[in-house]
Amino acid sequence: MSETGRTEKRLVLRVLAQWRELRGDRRFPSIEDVKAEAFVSDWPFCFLVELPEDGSTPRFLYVGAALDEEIGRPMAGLPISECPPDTLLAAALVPHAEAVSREVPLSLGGEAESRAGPILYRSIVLPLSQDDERIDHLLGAANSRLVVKDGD
Amino acid sequence: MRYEIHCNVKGKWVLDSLFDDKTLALDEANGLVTRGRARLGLKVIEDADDMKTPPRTIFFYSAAAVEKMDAAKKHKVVMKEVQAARDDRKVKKEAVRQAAVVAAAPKKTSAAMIALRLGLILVGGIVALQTLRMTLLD
Repeated sequence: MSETGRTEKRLVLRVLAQWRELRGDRRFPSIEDVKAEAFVSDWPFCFLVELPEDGSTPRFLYVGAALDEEIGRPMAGLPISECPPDTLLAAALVPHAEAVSREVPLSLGGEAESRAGPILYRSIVLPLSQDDERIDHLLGAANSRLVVKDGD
Repeated sequence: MRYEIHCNVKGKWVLDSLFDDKTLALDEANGLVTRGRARLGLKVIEDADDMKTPPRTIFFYSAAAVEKMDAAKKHKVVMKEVQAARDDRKVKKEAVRQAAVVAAAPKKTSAAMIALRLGLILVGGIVALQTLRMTLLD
């Protein structure tokens, strides 16, 4: 893990720092560069999405245990359209199209509805490419906390 | 609100990352600068995303500007040292000049010495007069 990754408290900035580390002098790191060990304890909060060249629906290649747990079933291998809307993973996927079109890491956050109730979440989606041209995969990460309202 | 980090790559501003949170964007920008990952320059643009408010730069770092500032600071330090050396030389030169003036000045005879000399002449005169008187009386 990068120096920033060890000292940074926020998940999205740790993952972004690691993405920069993997990228080196290239525009994007490739899917082969992404290894669970590099992300250490952040890996369960990460997900990987494959973007088929033919334009068909993107698929989850990997979904971290912390994100899978909320959904209650493994999402790896499934198209992203199968992702239940009232989940952190669905909220984390919102900026994926913009991250692809603008070809840069994109971090969004805010309030969302989850199965456990309203949550405050923060997510990041980062482009990956094998030829440094076409974005063929996305790396994402997200975490959240339940919003505790007065009287709860 | 969107916050865009742009990096200067080979003289061109290139979009680096996007955030919807000001603190995150500024912290990331600051981190990039301190880790030396924005060698030429970096800026953070706040975009209201409402078509009315124009985007504005809320953070700007330019390596060239920093170099210019560093050079100006160094120049100031060097000029200060040069002035201090000049002042030092001036003080030493003045001390040498003063010493030369003192050395060249005619030696003054002190009042005590004059009094002593006058005393001796007076005593000598009296002794001579007494001797002459004694000689004439004999």
